Formats: sequence, C-alpha cells, structure tokens
Amino acid sequence: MMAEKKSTKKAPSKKEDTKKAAPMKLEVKKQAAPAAKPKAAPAAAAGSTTKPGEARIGVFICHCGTNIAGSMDIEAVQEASKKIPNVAFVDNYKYMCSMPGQTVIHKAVKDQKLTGVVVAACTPRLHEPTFRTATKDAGLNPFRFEMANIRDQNSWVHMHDRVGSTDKAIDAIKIAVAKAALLEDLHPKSVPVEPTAMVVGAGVGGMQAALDLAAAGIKTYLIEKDMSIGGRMSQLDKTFPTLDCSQCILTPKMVDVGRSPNIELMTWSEVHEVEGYIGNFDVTIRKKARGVMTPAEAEAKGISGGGCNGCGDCENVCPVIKPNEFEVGMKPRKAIYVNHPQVVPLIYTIDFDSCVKCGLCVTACGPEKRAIDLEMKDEFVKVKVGTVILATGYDIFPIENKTEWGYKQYENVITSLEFERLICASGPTGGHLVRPSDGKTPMRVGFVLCAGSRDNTGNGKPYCSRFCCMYSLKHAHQIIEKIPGCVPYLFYMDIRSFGKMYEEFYYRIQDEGAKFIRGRVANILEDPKTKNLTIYTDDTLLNRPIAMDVDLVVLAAAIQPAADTNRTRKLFGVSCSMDGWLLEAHPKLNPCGTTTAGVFLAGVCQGPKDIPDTVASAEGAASAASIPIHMGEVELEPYFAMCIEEKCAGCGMCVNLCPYSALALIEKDGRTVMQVTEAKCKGCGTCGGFCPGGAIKMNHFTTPQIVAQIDAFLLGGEQ
Amino acid sequence: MSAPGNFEIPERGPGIWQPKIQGIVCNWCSYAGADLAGGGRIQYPPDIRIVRVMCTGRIDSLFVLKAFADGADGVLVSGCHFGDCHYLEGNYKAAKRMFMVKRLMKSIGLDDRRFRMTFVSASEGAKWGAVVTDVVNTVRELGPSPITEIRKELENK
Amino acid sequence: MARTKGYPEALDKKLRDQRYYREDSNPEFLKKLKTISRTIPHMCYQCGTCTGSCPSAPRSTYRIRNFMRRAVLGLENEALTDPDLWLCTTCYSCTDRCPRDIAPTDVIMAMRNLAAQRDIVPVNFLKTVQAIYSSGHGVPNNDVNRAAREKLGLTRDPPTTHMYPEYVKGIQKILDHYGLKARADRIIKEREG
Repeated sequence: MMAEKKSTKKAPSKKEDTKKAAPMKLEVKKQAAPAAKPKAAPAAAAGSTTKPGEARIGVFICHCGTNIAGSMDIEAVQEASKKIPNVAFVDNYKYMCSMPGQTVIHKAVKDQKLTGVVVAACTPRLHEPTFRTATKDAGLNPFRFEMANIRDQNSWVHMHDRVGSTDKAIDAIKIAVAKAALLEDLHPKSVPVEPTAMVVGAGVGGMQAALDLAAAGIKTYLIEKDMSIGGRMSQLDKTFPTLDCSQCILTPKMVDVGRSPNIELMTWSEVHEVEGYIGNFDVTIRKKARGVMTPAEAEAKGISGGGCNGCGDCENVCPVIKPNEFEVGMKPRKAIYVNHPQVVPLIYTIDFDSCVKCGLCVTACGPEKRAIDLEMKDEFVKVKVGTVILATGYDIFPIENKTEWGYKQYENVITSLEFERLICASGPTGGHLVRPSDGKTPMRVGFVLCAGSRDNTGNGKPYCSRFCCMYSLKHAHQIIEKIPGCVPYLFYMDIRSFGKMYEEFYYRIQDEGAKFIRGRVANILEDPKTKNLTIYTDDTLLNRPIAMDVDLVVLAAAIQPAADTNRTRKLFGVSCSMDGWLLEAHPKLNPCGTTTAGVFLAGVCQGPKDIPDTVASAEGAASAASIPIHMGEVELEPYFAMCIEEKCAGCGMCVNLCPYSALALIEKDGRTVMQVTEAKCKGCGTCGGFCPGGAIKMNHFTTPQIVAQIDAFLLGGEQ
Repeated sequence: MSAPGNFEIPERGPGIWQPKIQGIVCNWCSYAGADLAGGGRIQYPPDIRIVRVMCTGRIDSLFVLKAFADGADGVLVSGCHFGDCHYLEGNYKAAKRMFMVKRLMKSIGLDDRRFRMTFVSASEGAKWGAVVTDVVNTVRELGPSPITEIRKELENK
Repeated sequence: MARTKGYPEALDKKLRDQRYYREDSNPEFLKKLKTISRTIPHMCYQCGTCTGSCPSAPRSTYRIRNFMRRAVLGLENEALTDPDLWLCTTCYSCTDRCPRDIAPTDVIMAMRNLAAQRDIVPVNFLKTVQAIYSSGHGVPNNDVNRAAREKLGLTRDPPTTHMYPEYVKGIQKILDHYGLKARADRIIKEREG
C-alpha cells in the first residue's frame, strides 16, 4: 500500500520531465527514419529488424463475399493502397481466408520478396491465427503479419456509407502498413504444462468435466464450495424429457467422482488466490473449517481408524435447529449436518455460524473416531495446475423482487425449486405436494413461466432462462400423475421446447391434460381467509382478460450466475457478459474457451443450459483443457516486455506498476537497470506505457510502431 | 427510449466537415466490443480509426498528445471496466494517466472534451456504437482542432 | 350505468366481454367433443393454420382457432351460442393442414351437434332440413339449373330423388327416425310465432 502511494505521488513530477522531452524524442525518430533509407542494404533483409526503408509490404484485400465488397469500393481501396509508402504489392480476393486466398499470399511473398504481410479483412480476433500460419508457411516470421479490420469495424458498421467506409478502409490499411513496416521477427517461447487440471464447482457439469479429465489420465482437483457434490441437479426430483429420477442418474457419477484415483475432491473449499498462466497456474485453495475430520485427515493426525464415518450420532444430539438450505428452508437441520442422506462425501459439516460449541457432538462421536474438532481453522492449500475449468453454475433469481407475484407474501406461491423438493420422495413431505398454508393437496395449480426471465424492466433478467418451459411441463406431468383430478394451468408467453425429444414431451403433457394459457401473469392476489390465489392475466389467444382461481402457484423463476461467480472469475481473469454470465472466447466457435489461455468454461456459468447441454459443454471443456496437458507444452505469445538497458535509469517506477511482479531492479555493469522475468510477463505493457525514459520495449507493440500507426492516419502515411 | 444500438448517425457528405478521431483501444474488451458491434450491425459514424494495443495500460500519455500534435480532432481511449482488466489492473493505471492528460490539455488551452476515456466490455457492442457516436457528435460541435488551424496559419505565412 | 339509447344490448355484450370473468369451464364439453368428433381437440396449440386456411374467415368473423381454444378450455356456452359456429363451409382445408393432425372441421361439426341438441340452430339450416324432407335436396333443382343442364347435354333433372321422386319417402323415413323434421318444424314455429 505504501509503495503504491509513493509511486503515484512521484508520478506527476516525473511526468513533467517526460512532457518536455516528448516532442524531442519523437522529432529525433522522425529524422532517423529517412536517414536510414539510403543506408539500407538489401543484404540486411535477413536480419531480425526491418528498417522502414527496406520494408516491402504486401497488402491483401478480402471481399469476404459481399460482406466487405458490398459496402465499399474495393477498387478504390486497392488503388489507394498502392500509393502507401513501403507497399510493394497489392491484391484482392473474394475470400482471403480460403485455401486459394492463402495461396495468393504465399505466391506474393515469394515472388515479390515481401518482408511483411497486411491482410485487410475481418478482425484479428477471428483470423489472425489463420494468416499468421499463412505468413509462416510462406517463409516469413509469423509475427511479420498485421491485420486491417475492414469488416467488423468498418463494412458492417457503416453499411450505408460507401464513401465513409472506403476512406476508413484506406486509413485502416495505412495504419496496418505503418505497423507492418516496423514489425520484427519474434519467436514464441514454449513453456512446459503442469500435467494436472482443476475444476471449480462440482455440479453435474463440474463432475462430468473432472471425470473426463481423470479418465484421460490427468490428475484433477475438483473444488466445491458446498459440503457435498452434485450441485443443483441433486436437488431435482425428475429430469425432462425422459423423466429419469435425477438422483438415480446422478448418484453413480457422484460415487465415481468419490472413487476415482485421479480426482482429488475438495469440498467445503473455495479458490482463494490464483497466480501464473496457462500450464502453470498456482492456485491457493481455502479449505473452510469443517469441524469434522475425514478418515484420511484423522489418520494424518495419528488417530488410526478415526474420522467421520457418517453415522449421524452427532446430529442426533445437536441442540441447534436451523432451516436446511438444501431443502430450500422447508426442512430443519442441525448445526452439524449433511445436506441429504446420499451425499458424497459422507462427511458431516459444522455450520460454525450457528454452532454453540456445547460439545455434545464431540461426546457422541466417541473416543475411537474422534472426528469432531470444534476449534478447527480454515486451511490454505497451494496446488499447481496446468489448466482450469470453471463450472460455477447458477442461483435462482430472488423472485420476491417481483412483488406482483407475491412470493414470500402469500404462503401458497412457491418457486419451482421448492416444487422440486416438495414433489421429491426424499424431500420434506416425502413426495406429497401440499399447500404450504394448510398442508392440503392442491387441485388447481398455476405455473407462471418466464417469471423474471425475458424481462427488461431492470428488476428481472433480459435473457431466456432456457429450461423453465421444460421443467414446468415436467411439473405438470408430475402433478397429473401423482394427484388424480389435479389440473395444471401453464401461463406462458412461448413454449420453448427446442431439444431432442422436447417437443414430443410437450405433446405428451398436453395430451395428458395440462392446460396452456398464453399470457404473462400480470399479478396474483390472495384470499386472506382461504389462502387461495387468483391469477390475473390476458388470454391473448381468446383476446380477453382472465381471473383464475387456483390453490397453488409455482413461479418458474429466472436464474442468475451463482453468488460467487464474480469473485471467482476475477481471480482467473475471465470476463463476463452484461448479464453476468462468463464470457466465452467465441460464442459459436469457442464456447468453452475464455480469453484467458488455459481457463475453460463448463455448464451454466457460461449461460443458461439444461442438463444435456451442461454435460455436453463439460465434456467439451474437459477435452479442451486436456489438450495443453497432453501436448506437454504451450507456446506463449512473445509480447513480453524488454528493457533497453542503455536507456534505463533504474528509477524502478515500472516495478511497482507490474501486476505480475515480473520486473525487478538488478545491478549490471555498475548500473541499476530493470530486468524482466519473461515467464511471468504477460505483455500488458503497463510498464512500457509509463516508463519515463522510454526504456521498455513492448514486443509487437513498440512505441515506434504505435506512433507510426498514429502518424499514418493523421499525417497520411508519410513519416 | 429506443432499443439499444439504435441511435441517430449525424449527417455526412460533401461540404460537411468530418472530424479525425484517433481511437486507441485494448484488445480484450473494447476491441472485442467493437467487433461485436460489427456482428450486431450496429451503425455508427465512420470518423474513427482504431489502433489496437493489448491493454490500455500500454497507452503512453504521449501517444494521446502525439495524436493531437499530428492534428487529431479527438482521441478516444477505451478499455475494460474497472475490475475486469485482462491484466488485472492496467485500466486503473491508464485511467490515472488519462486524467493527467486531461489536466494538461486544459492547461495548454485545448478543450479536454476532445479526449475521452471510456470503458466498453467485450459484450457491449451497442455501447461501443453509442460511445463512438457521442464522441463524434461532441467533436463536431467543438469544430476542427485549434492545432490544425494554427499549423495552417503557420504554413500560409 | 349510463346507457346509450338505441343499442343497449350491444353495449351490454361489449362490457361483458371486457369484464374479468371467473372461468366457466366445463371439462365435460371437451370430452363430449372428443367422442363426437373422433379427433383430438385438446392437442391444439393455437398456431392459427386453420383460420389462415379458412375460406370463410376473410369474409366473416368466423375464427376457427377461437373455437378450438374454447374447446380446450371447455367454454361450452360461449362456443355453442356464438352464431359464427355456423359459418364453416366444411371445406376441410384446416383439417388438411393442421400440424397437430387434429380435424378442426369435425370439432366444429361436433359443436353444431351439441348446439342443435339445445335447439341453437339458425333458421336457414332448419329450412334446409325442410327442403331435404320435401325434395331430398338441400338446394332443390330450379329452372335456371334445368336450362343449364340441358345446354350441357344432361337430363333436366339429375338422377336423384328429382328423377325418382318415389325414393323421397325413404329419405323422409330416415329423417323421421331421428325426429329431425319434427324438431325443425317445432323450432321454426317457436321462432316465427
């Protein structure tokens, strides 16, 4: 903290000096460039740096079908490009990224002896790797390639301004050529990959990912913040559309996770800190104090044959009673408890927030097992992993915020998750659906779909939560099956039954007698005496307002990212989209990857998904996360910082700026200079943007390159 | 209120002055957001030219000043939201520098509305369009950069 | 309530339509329709293909989708008292095109049956019954048709009860068996005084 303050205080005074020096610095460079021209010898072309005078840049303009060619004058762009300094060759092609398009680049590089390649096409975020490979195949260093974005940031956003987009494209090419002329050969460094992986979150997605990684022979740490694994799926009763019992299909997976020798399961744990980069993440895990030792932990403490065996004696004597979160508060639990009888691992946990430390459980546990330690403290464990999969899942949107539906005001308005627990044979009522107000069996049940989803009021979620339609259909089936004569009324806007066998399921439920009323529920009122509810809506198909009396209302509440998602994603440097779901590298072509290399997404944390999609995405993420591990090493982009030692004054300002502690001051030849630990440097350039002496060279984003880009636009390409 | 991404584009054409606006954006958030605006076909005025850097932390105050010295009518620096930086905290550091640039501009008599730092995430395509439109409108109101004017005068002498 | 002179009934109807109503659904109605129509009206998902296909819909207020909706919800009174029920031409276009393979035409016919049981039938339909009873044809032959037939080289009367009036008796026997003629006569008498 002190150091931080110091550096900011110093900054302005130092900066003043820089300001004065600035024009001079730039002036010098400007003069240096033309001076270098006559000196340039063709023989030097093989060297790693190309001086501006000897650069021969090829510009390749892509039509992208009509995506680009439809909004601008390609001929004019080509003609203008020919006049840009250093441009030796210009060509255009319908699809530059196609095989013939890449052949054009190959041929031109060879025939025209190009030193740099500029492709004016889509965005480097899409096709930079493609063209880098093409550049490499043509015999140049892959980093001698620069892209001009004339599609995503030009033709697509100026579709009706042909003149404007043509001018902008010409400028974009000027800017790219200016940089390409100054590009240098770079050689990506390979780093070894730690052959272990980590999965954060042990719901069905996280478990599947961990099982797949383990099956591929990779040691996997599975981190779960709750006391047991299984996640949301373990709270469900049945699954659509097959009506498989959720627990029945999940338990084998949970047991496999518990048994797999390659999976190190860490429940009641959270990711605390993350350092490092792909292949070498150093993750600190906080093992929350559980108060109960596993047999292994007891063994380690010298209590042989001890540790929790899940007998439950402690629970019987515990005097504290709390609502059970797993049962959505509809069942009591003790301060020492397990979520439900089938938990994996079957180890009791003490809720230290409510424990009164009476010690009754310790006595009940007995002197042999000695599993309970009321003084247990949080532990921190450090592990090194090569890749990470985030599977942090979702929470239910607090639907009481939508006051018109009366959740938490009216007893007989419940959420679908509460419905799942009520209809579940292992739930608080043993599978009997009852009205919370009087315990009677409801005969008319209203289902409110899109409760909080597809809602742009700000008090709700703008997206479709994607599985509410289907589980509400399933709920309708369950009550028809379990309560003869009970009629489910589904109030819907659209029924989105998009998956395999989903539409058929919808057909089946409608055939069974569920009633569908197209109209979003406007409000619900309660009769204070009977606690019956009246649903007000518009039957949009009959074109008439409706007031319908029902016994029970089930709100198919929207979902939102799990509470800790934001904290976790920041630890791993993963972005999120506007609605809080984690951002994938590409929504279509890389839905499991993130912009942080080595971190992948599985399941709902990336966006609402049903179980099949979650499992599919988890398997995809596991496959993606195993690739670097099986390759054994990864190439890092060589964008790291370099110290130009003759310019470095050893002030050390940069050292504090670096978020990765990659910089340090060292003594060299009697001077203090900065040194970069390349393995730690991620190439953000924060040091380079600040260095008062211009002594830090950011590879591929050097100051001369960026200044040349600015000049190319504003001064028309002449240096 | 109209749906996001539907805003008016100022008129262009012969005889209407078009500002030169230099954009310097980070690769991970704002550049991706600008790409997303493309994917969403969100239309905004074509007066901006983008230079991509990996992080706004890379942006030396001198880059901004150099752009003004070269005759830019406006400069837009755009990065990730605070707390969302791909490199943890580059955008904080950039923001600090950019405040300094603004102060400096004021003290040399250059309207600091010509320079703006914004935060556009990779999922805010519509916001990117709105930001660019707003910057262009602001700069249009301010007119050509006084630096260009002075340079012209000097050349005429 | 202020009443506008001249159309109190129309206003009443309008207001009734806008008032929130406690649902008056009769589940038996849907069951009866299923039995009579031998199709699956409860599977309707209200896509609107039927109304779109209907030749009557663009020329009238007849909306078959509305009747299907009433069938699903069991809105018996509403369906049976709606005069639009009788605007179906039974062309079966909707049945051909229904994506859920329902036969909406048959549902309409079933509704007409149920309506008829309650004596809710327009007079023109009853007059058709009388015409069939007397001549064996809903639309008996007339001179214009006869001339047209002659022009086409056909017999003046078609080879039906027109040519063989002795068979009209047989038709009358069938109608009498179901009491259709007596019913039609009774209702017409009641309505026309």
